[in-house]
Amino acid sequence: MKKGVIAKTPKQALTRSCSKQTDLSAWKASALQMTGRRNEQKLSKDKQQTTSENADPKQDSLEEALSYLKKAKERTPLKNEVLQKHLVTVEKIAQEKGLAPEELDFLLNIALSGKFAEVVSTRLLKNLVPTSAITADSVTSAVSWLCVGKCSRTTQMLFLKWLIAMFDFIEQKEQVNALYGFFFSLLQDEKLFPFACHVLYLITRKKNVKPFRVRKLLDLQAKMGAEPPLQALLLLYKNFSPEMVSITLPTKTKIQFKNSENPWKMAISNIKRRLCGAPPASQPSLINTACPQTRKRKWNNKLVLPACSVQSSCSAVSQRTHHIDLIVHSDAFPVEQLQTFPQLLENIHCLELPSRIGSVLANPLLLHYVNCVSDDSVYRRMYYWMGQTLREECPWHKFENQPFELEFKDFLRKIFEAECFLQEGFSSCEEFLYRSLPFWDGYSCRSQVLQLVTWIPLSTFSEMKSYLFKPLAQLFFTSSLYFKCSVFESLREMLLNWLNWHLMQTDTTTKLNADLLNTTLSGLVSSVADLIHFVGWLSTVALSLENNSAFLMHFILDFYEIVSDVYLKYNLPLVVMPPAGVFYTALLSMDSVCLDHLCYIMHRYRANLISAKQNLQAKKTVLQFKFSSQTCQEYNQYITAMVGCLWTSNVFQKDFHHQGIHMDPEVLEKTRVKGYRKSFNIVYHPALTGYAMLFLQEAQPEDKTPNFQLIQGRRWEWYLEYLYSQELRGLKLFIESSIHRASQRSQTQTSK
Amino acid sequence: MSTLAAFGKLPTLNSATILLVGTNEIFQQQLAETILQEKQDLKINIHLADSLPLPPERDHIRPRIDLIVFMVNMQSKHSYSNIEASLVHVDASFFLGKVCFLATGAGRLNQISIEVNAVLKLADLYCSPVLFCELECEKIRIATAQRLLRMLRICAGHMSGVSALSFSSLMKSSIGDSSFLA
Amino acid sequence: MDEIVAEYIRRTVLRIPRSEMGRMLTTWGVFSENQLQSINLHQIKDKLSQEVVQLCEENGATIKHAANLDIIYNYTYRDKKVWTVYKMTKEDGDENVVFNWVDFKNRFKASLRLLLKNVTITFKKFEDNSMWIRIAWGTQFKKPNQYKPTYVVYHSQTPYVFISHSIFKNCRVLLFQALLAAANYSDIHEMDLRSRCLDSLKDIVFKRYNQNVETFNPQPLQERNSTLENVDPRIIQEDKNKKETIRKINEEDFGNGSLPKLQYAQYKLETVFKSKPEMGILNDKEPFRCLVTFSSPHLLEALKSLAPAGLATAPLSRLLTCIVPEAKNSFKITEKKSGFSHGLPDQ
Repeated sequence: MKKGVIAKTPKQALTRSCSKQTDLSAWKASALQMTGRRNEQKLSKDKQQTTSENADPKQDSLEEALSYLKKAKERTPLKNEVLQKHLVTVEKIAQEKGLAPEELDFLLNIALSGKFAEVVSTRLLKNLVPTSAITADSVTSAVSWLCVGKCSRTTQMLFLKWLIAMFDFIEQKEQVNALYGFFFSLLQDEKLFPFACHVLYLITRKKNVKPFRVRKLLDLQAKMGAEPPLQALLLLYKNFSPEMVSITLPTKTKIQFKNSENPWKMAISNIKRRLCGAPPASQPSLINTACPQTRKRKWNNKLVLPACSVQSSCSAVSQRTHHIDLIVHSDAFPVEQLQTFPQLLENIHCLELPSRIGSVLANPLLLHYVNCVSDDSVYRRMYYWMGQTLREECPWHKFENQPFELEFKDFLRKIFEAECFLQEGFSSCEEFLYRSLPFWDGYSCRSQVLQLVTWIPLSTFSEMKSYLFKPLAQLFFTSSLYFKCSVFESLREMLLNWLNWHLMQTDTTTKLNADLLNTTLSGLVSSVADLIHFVGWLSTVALSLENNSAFLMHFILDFYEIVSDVYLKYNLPLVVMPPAGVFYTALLSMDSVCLDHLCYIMHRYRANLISAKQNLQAKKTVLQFKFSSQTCQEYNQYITAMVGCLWTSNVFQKDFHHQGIHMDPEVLEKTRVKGYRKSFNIVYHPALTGYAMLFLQEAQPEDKTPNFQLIQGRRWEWYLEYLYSQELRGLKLFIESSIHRASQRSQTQTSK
Repeated sequence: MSTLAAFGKLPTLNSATILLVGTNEIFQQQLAETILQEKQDLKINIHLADSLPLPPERDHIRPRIDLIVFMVNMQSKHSYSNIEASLVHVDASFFLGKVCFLATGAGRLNQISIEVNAVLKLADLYCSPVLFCELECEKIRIATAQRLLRMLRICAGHMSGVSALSFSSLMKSSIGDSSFLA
Repeated sequence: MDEIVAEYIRRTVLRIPRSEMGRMLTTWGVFSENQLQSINLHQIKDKLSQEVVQLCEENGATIKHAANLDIIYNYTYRDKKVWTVYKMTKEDGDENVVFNWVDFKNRFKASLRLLLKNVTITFKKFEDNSMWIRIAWGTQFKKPNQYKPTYVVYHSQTPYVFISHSIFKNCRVLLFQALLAAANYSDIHEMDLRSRCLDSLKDIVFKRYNQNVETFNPQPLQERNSTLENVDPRIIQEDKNKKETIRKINEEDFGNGSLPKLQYAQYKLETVFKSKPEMGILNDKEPFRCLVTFSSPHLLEALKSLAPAGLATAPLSRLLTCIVPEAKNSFKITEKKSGFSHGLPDQ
């Protein structure tokens, strides 16, 4: 068990420690990514310095001390001067420079073997400060000493404390994990219990979570009450497999392990500082990044890969051997080493997700993994964790979270990004929105919440209506124009996501389950139709509330641009016309862009309807088409109104839509507007008169008062060309498709 | 028992009047100040009262009230019962869109002494919407003030094409399942 | 100087905050000017305490001195203890005796020593005319325990005594006897008034708080009105009169000055549960026992602001407003006192 490390020549030991120190700096650089190239240069310089320092006689004295400790008789009396002298040497060197792995291993063995009095063991343990790493073998041998019971309870406790403090430095954590059962058995001991809990908390992997262990922990909890360390461990278990731990745990209690009075951390940071040569203030201390305890950092903490399991990166060569090691010894690839996509592909079979499932959100590689893994438990863990976090941290549910709104925003943003990446919403997020939107003030985290809404998956509309659309509508009506616009924006995104999802579904289905698809399709179609009708209602109201704002109209028309193309572009048998409140407002808008947009949308409706009709006649599609003659009729009425409004100037006579602008000639006479017959065509339409004016100015610069009546005959054609040249593409497409211009004053011809 | 009538007086030119009813004087005052800080093209009058009925001796100088906001503090049963008692003194015509409830303190679910459902039910009973907000936070107060002002403009008839009644039918939490499909 | 005294002084010094150290040692008066100057106040407290002990050793300080320092400390930090008020009464016909502190002390000591030998009694008079008595209790066979003394604060010519408890029942009897003998009273009883703030207790029992200042000085009322009018003219307070009445009622109940500091008020209810007979619960005549405690760092201020904050209707229940006039903060409400039977407001 005991190893004679010191039997090496000083020179060997020296080179050894040198290389380790290189490791240390490299590790530090990678662990703290902020340390840039600059620092690396500095580090190498420092390294040289320390190398030269190492040559001084102190190293020899350490060798001497170690050899003495090895050879000394058991139970050497404490007051022995030689022993004291050597102990002082060890202490001094350890505190100043730290110990190489071999020295550490040796001293650890001495301390735990109970060779000397307990005071000596304690002193040795307190000075076990590593320079670079601790081999897992050391831990194994130390544990074996604990098993034979050579050392007292206090020493064991101190060892556990040391292990917790040094956990970051241990290489091959897999090997430590293999000792899980041993550490678990330490829970029995009342004195060691909190520390054993902490060690277990650090090393627990998913595979360690077993029903019998859960049972044991629950027994312990029944016996000892709700001890914070035990609760923390149980919570971790629950995070790994929520189905095994059915009890509810207080989530708000800070997972606090007492890690005060830690002499080692101080010593390590001192040595680090000396090695790196940076002033302590500017150099972010390693210890700080390892265990952020303040609430401010809680967030980062949840989303970064657990830093404590970051393995010290060895040099490239050793890393390769390291991997082989891992593959031979265990079947898990440590996620924190996952850096590149090829790495992911190579190890995809043996990847294990970290204990902090939330860290997956911020890691695109792991998201890839989550996306393709069929394991249900990943989703369950994610669901459990995310639901809980959202509930606990939501600032409008818990007022005390108000100061942390920024963090929450960031968290929501991360969820949204992950959802975009996965092209799928999280169900816990959906639940959260359903539950919290009724209480939302419409202000906190506005854009993030509305973004998350876009990923709410398709479900029956009546359900969504009461939980989502009703509270949203209430906020919508009382909020500003910008809020309204962003709601339209996110509803548009939501529709897009649904349609894309549908597209994916039809792509992947075979003919066999086409029947099944048919039934789900009708559900999908009716849900989408309901959403479109809802938005139609919302837009009609919004336009009248916002005084027909052109800005708002853009967002509404953006939505309808997708709606108009649902059949051709997204292969969904559905055509829904915009309500009259939207159509006529856009048609009579003062804004030429709106008008142009509407023209484009109507052009797309035409294309969709024509193709639908053709398919229907050819019986190409067996699917039940969700459009009726009523839709066609509505389209025809709209198109008549549009042609009357833009081309034939007879909108007041020809508009037959029941909400349209048909007016009796007598009424029009009474308005005493001269030439009302011509009030609406491409020349006189309020959105286009500006163009007409400019056109006339260009055509007849000498005429001061523009005479619109001049635009007739050939000038009409020229004017049309002029309009087309002004980027009014929608208008062009519309006129070219929907208006047959056989003769000069053409007869309107709608598609049906 | 004097009731507050919605249409008992003629409206004043280019102005709107809002009545805040609630027991928390500080919140009321703060909200009132926030509302006034918003830029408006019409004159806003704010009346504060801790309960109804309003003192009759001031009836003749009080302008027509366009919107009543009942502020319910979810942490105080007293505030809830006070509002309940005050509602009796409001003329039925007010509930055609000129009343709204403002529930504060719902963000402290562990400290509330009135169930959220109770407030929702009360609002439903009186056909009026509920807004949830935390008035301690200035930004939320501003957002709430803006929302109230929008409602006030509609209730006072300053928004063409939208009446208080039509607006309240939009806001009412019990929209019939297909009312918007028509 | 024996070890107990040295250790006691050391511990007392350790308790004193550094900022107060110089002042307290000077007040203590054990050290000469030179000695005081020689003490380095900026060293580690542990060292400092040892230095002080050493100087005491030189000066031959006794347990008396040690107790004196303890009184000085506790006088400064009197709010750290809980004080109970007791009232002494005279039987009719007892003529007033001219009060004399020396007699008082002597009689007190004599009365106590008569029954208990092992006891340390220390007196100290302060500028506010209060006499502090510190008694460290021992038993027949045990030396006095200096670490758990009782503090008694007494003002001459008043029937009130303020006691900070940490004593056993039998000692309390002895203490009362000594007090009655020394101050020439015949009976003593607890007043159900307790607080951490000794000065507030004195204010209450000596009626020093400014409860009805307003009747003599109506000035502040108008000032308040003018501040109310200062707000935006577009904000109209509809219930200004009502608010004014609330304020007036409040002022009647609590006064308009600062209020004495109390930490709690306790109501022990022993009333019969009244319900309609058809409800059929608790209809027997057994009293319905329950204990209601209102607690706050400054209870009276809290009660005073209940109505303005809209948390309760004004006027508040008599039970809450009678704390100061009755000089009581634990009450027992029984069926008989019909005046006290109305319910408590919600809180």
